[in-house]
Amino acid sequence: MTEEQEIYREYNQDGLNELFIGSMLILNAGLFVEPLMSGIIVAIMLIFGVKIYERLKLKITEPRLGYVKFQTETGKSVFFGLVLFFSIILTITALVLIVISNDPGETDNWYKMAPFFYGLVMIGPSSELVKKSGLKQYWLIAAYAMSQGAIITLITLNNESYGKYDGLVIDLLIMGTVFVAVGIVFLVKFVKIPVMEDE
Amino acid sequence: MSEKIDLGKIELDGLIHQPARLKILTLLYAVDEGDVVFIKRKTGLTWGNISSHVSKLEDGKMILVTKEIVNKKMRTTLKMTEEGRKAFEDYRKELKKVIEYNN
Repeated sequence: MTEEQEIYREYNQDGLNELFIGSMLILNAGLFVEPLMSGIIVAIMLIFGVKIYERLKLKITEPRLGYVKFQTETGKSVFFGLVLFFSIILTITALVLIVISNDPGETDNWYKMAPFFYGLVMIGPSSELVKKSGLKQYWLIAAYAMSQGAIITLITLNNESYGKYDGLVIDLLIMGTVFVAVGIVFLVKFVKIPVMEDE
Repeated sequence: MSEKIDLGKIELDGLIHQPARLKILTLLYAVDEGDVVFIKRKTGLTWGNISSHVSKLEDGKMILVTKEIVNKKMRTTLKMTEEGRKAFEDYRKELKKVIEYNN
């Protein structure tokens, strides 16, 4: 494990990332439950969500561990990597839809594939976390998200009693709640670390 | 048999080759920037020690020091300069030669 990975790990033991991601997933579910509120929800997510996250990092993490800014990758290679990644998982989702759906041409079935798609999307953040922290355990996030997404998709796909967004809302709410719960456990443990004395 | 290393040609940068400064630079090399609280926590150095070595590294243009008020407290942020990164990479190469000399 490199020094950078060790520092990254230390700064992610506060549970704030899990709390942030979990809250965003739950709010995201709200977009599909009440589309009329989408403007307010997106504003909360993009403006207040990030502000609150930064404020909590400043109030909780920084006094205990100090301030650190990690090196970030930017540029064309990241952009093309993302385009390639999303192209691959969209293709996989489409192929799975064609194979397992009774009616691939029905647009509602495309929406019902969203939990499966979301599960595959989680490979991206998982692999990034494994790379940055050196901890292979982060692959469990992708494994969990993919399993849950696949199960929910299988249950809802060819079942007309489910609305087109039902599976996605359930998926986001369960995943969001799991993330928030994990975040709270990490946070409670983290705040026991004593605050460092000032310079 | 590997290439013979000439000890006389090995040049370890004196500014880096000091335990406290080496620890500080090792940490700053791993991140984009970090404050002195982070340095203190990771190195176990005293505030006085950190202050004196940070000044030396700043004078040697290895690091940039920024002071700002954040959350009603002074935050002293340290960031390795490009020159500092290059010097640290060169230092590591030279140190590797020393380690390999007796192997």
